Amino acid sequence: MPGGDRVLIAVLLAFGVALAAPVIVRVAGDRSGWVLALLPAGITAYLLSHGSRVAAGESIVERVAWVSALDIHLSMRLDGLSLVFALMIAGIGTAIVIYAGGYLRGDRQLPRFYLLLLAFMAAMLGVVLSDNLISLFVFWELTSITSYFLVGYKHEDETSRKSALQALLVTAGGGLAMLAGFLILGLVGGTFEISELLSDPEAIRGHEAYLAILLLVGLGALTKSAQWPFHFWLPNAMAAPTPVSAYLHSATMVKAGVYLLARLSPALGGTPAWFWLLTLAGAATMLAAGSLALLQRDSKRLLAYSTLIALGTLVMLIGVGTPGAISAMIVFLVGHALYKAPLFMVAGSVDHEAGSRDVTALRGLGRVMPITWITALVAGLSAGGLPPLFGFVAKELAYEGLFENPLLLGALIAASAVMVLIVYLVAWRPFAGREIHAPSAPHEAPLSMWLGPALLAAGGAVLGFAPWLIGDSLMVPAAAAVLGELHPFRLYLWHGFTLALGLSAVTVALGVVLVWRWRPVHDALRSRTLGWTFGPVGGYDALMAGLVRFAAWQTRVLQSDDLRHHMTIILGFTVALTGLTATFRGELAFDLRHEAGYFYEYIVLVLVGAAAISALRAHSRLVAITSLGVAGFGIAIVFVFFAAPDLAITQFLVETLIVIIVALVLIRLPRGSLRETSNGSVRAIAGTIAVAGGALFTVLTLAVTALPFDASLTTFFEAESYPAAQGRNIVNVILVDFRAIDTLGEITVLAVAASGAYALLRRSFGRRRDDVDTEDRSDRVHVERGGGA
Amino acid sequence: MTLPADFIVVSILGPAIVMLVFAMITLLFAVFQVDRSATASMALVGVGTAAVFALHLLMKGQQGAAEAGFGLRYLGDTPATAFTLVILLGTALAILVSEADLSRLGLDHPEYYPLMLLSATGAIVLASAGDLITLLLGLEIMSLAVYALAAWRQGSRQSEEAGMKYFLLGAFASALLIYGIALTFGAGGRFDYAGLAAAFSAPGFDAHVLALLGAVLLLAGLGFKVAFAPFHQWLPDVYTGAPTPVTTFMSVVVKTAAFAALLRIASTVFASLGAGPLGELLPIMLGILIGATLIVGNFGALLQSGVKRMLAYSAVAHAGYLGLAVLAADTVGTNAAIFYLTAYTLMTAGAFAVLSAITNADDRGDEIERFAGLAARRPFLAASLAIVLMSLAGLPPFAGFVGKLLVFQAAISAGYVALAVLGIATSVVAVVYYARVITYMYFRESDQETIRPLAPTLRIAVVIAVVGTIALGILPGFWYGLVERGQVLLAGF
Amino acid sequence: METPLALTVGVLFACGLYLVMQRNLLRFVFGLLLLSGSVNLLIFTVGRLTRGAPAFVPSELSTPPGDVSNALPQALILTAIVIGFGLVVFAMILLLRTYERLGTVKTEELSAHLEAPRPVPMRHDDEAPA
Repeated sequence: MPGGDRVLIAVLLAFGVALAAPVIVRVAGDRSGWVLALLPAGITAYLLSHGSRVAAGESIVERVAWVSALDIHLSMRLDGLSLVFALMIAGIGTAIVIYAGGYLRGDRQLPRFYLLLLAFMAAMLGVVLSDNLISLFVFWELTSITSYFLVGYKHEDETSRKSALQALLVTAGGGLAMLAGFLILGLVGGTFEISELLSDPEAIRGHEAYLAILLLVGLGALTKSAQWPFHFWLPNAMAAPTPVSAYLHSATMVKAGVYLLARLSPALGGTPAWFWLLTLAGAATMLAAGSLALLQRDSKRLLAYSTLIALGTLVMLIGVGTPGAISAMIVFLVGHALYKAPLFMVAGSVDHEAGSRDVTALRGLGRVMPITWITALVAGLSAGGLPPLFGFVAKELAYEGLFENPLLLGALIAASAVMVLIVYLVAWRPFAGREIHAPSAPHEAPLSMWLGPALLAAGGAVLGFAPWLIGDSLMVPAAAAVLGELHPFRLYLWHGFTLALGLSAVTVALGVVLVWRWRPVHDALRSRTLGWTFGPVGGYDALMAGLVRFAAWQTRVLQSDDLRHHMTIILGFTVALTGLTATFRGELAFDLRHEAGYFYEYIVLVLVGAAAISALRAHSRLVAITSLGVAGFGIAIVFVFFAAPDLAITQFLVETLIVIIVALVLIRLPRGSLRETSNGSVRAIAGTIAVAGGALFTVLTLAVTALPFDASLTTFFEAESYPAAQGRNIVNVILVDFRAIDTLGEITVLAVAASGAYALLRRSFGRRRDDVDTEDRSDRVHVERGGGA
Repeated sequence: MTLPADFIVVSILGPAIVMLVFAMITLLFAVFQVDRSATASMALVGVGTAAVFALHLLMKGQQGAAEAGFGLRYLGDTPATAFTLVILLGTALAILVSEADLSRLGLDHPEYYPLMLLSATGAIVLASAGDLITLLLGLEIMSLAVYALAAWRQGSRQSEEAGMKYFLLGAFASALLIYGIALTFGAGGRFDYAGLAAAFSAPGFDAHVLALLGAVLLLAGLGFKVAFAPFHQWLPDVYTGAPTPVTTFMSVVVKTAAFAALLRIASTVFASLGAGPLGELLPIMLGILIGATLIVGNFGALLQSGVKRMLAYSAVAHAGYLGLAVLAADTVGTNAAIFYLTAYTLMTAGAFAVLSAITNADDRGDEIERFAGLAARRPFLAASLAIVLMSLAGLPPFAGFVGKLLVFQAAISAGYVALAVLGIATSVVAVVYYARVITYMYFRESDQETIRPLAPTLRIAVVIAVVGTIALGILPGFWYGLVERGQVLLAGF
Repeated sequence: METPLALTVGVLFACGLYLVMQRNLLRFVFGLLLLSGSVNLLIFTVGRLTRGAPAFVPSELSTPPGDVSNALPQALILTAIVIGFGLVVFAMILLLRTYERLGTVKTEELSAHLEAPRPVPMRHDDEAPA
């Protein structure tokens, strides 16, 4: 461990501050956003201080044993890729924390909000800094949990509740699949340490479990990054407060899947399966999001679809996996973070100050919200991929990275044209115009709400002119981490008149056409598709309904209130299992040529059998109880025949007591027949199971007696009984000396039975039956739940 | 220094004897009508003393010296003492929950605590049994006391029958178990696990079918107690019908002890059969049971609108996850199960403790609607319940996550990848039903009547459960390290 | 002599099994009694039969002479008999109490209505704009 580096401490400190956030908010009051922003700002500065070492190709690795027996460590690794992600998380986090202070000013749940937001940030840092699969998973699921509470924050709203649950189920469910993948990956690679796994990719790619690993891990990454067909949770999660949408749903959490794919691509990537899985998912996401965006007029949902387009692009580029594509992916990632977060915050400010997010209901806001408008325009131009902004640099690179895959390139161009439309709808339309249209009287947002977005947008502008600022220091090391080897590249704003520039021009032209024809297309699509459920959401619904139906079905089949029903299922199952075993290979040996018995022995045995059958058939309780007594005494006599006087005495005694107790209880029970009222088929089933069981045990007893007898332990007792324990009755010696504790145990059993029975009896006569019946069933009235949640 | 054999026997039996003695003391308290809270304190002192003995044994790490006496196989090795500690922890939590609720529920009889301590004694014996007769004794002591406790709630027809059914099915399960013991004895000529395992893997042994049938019946008998489907059918009714403090006790202590016994048998007797000619059959049967349990438990819980009943089904589901550890019992499964059961004890007791604070004065009213808006009304209760539920769902960074991770890993490394994946898939269903309760608590407004103030002992129980759940989740190494000491772990990892 | 004993074990087992699948709880308890008798005989038989030589050590010797009956299974049977006795006593008390309070000992009359599985509506926020 390089001396003095404490990346882990930074993460743990973030968790600590998150837990302290409620107290800080109470002390700092309205200024709490500014105070708490010191944490992400400090982390940003800390990360930047490592920039030069990372740029030199070094990775900072730390390992703290967590469950060392299982090779689970809190390993941290700061390399080029982690640094880019961590800077995004902390840097944008700073802007978001300040913004949230203004946006949620006076909200009484602000303490809880900051706790969750900062905990989310800490977990997100943990995800991108972990070098151990298991600790990565822990942080990964923590982001799902905290985002669940953050999305459901405005809980008076039914939509937020449902969206929160939907997001949780899709992402946490995908996460669990990922865990399965990680466990198999750990087994295959022999370690959970990511850096060790990446050092031997052939062992993983060549393993027969590779495809399973890829699909399971891919499921986790694709659900988290909202790729088609799991994309639906992201637009729905727009029910969250705007700071949450801006942070989780554009800049950070949804990028966790992208991060994981990029991180593992040296080990898992480079195969046809990888290429097709990621490029198809990415392209499908872009196209689906691009077309669904045409239906939207809510600014946040529009931005959500544009985020989906960007996520699809990133996943597709990782799938392509060439040095050009990966370099483009890294640059695009940063460019997207710099324009999307400000756009979300602007949309939130407009909602906050003008009272609506419907882009058709707002006009002319630029006159009263000039700073917000300028921010929106700068970020928007970057989002639309126009020079001289960083988004342009990123898009040019992405086009170049896809030259070898024209179909994918075409998809990206189409989706980018929709981006132009979205930018127009969010950053131009509500602000332009002379007359102000808005539900409430709009005014400029306060400093806390414009500073962050303005700085981020300005960052996009500066980097557009001077992309070399981060080129060699951040972008190249990050791409190297994904590629597994160094591929230097240079960033330029102006490439000259290249094919990529021509394609950019085509994109903008297409975008302008979309802007021009937007209203009629939009209205036509809306009127036709309103109420129509798009495929994957329908799939989610059908899955949920299917789970419930399956649950109801299996409960109906298995769960009954009738004891007899339980017994039949259980016995049937057990007899089936034992029968299965016994017939599996018929190697039960028999020897029927036993020593013959005496005449009177047979008579006793026949008597026992007859008594049992009589107990079975008896209608009168007296007959039944007498038969049971006869069977019991018969067994005692068998013990006498075969030299077990202790057993016989005990059996006589116990049998007598049982008959007396049963008779005493019967006196108090109503007189009535024991005759059964059940129908023939029920009796036939019971009879079949009973006869099968009886036959089985006859056979088994014979099989056991055919075995040679291992008498070593018995011989030990016989030999030791007198010398060691001074007892001549061996059974007694075993009971009171060698197994004295068991005898104590038997006494305890009787003590428990007696005190339990006594307690029951005492209570039993305390209350009459009538008291019970009045309350009967009243406790099981269920109120049908209101929808979902 | 070698200790005299008698001393070793006594020290191994220490926890069980202490519990028995304190059961008798509390019984005397009861006879002489001593104040009930004094009885509860005495019971807690007993549990604490027994825990000191068990902890002492665990720290000494007595491995082989555990077997003592002649026919007696009462074990004091690491798994036995670790399970003893878990049982004592569960008992202590159940006593704390009981103390808050007994008089309110009309359960205020003198025999209550003595029976609970006796049952815990039986559980300890069951977890430490090294032979089939001791197993049977422990099981019956534990079960008889629980039958009496479970049948106590009055006034509800449903709980009356549930208690009756529980007893009858349990008695029948004991019968199955004894048949299993008889067949196993017939095949191996021994009662102690080690001797049986040696006999079954001896070169000339040819009674595999018999031994296997004995094993199947043992599995069925214990399957009742651990609630593997389809032997779980008593559970939802009994858990719902019994008074909540008793349900707390049953769900943690009985389950821990039964799993301890099952794991022990699986790692010795079953494992020795696994090498035989029919060796593949037993894991297949166990696999069928576990798969069914995972599905039945999780999907059953999905439907429930009562939180108590949901927790009952989830207890079935957790039996399935623990079953994954049983499959790997002879390697890493036992340690995984110890950790899982520790976590399970804490979080389940915590959930039932909060539940008993929220139900009506007569212990009814567990509908999910009652939990609406709890976060606003009772932030402590809501946060506690949310934490233990997330832990039950297996979400990090709580103890339940580490437990699930350990059992999944044990199953995968033992080659049961498909079952582990089924376990993980059904975990997603589990997230649905646990998250629903949290959604009600945090994201809904309340229209319920106010909840009575939290009794001090209940608060202590909740705090212990929640702190334990978090601590075991964040720093699992302490407990796991203690348990793991002296055993070969995760070869190949 | 093992063959008739094995048959008796089987008959007792079958009768016990049939009875525990019946509706009347009294018959259920009778079934348990038969099962308990059957298993005692089973253990006794699989421990091997010895006629006429109880497991005693004669006063002049320190180990028993020749074959005596197998003492180990007998110890288990004693345990089983005692436990069975405890169970049956408890069962009868519980049965009595059930009748006192519920007025019946038939399983189907005991059954409270099952909590009907209740499908939980799971909705979502649609794709289509609200």
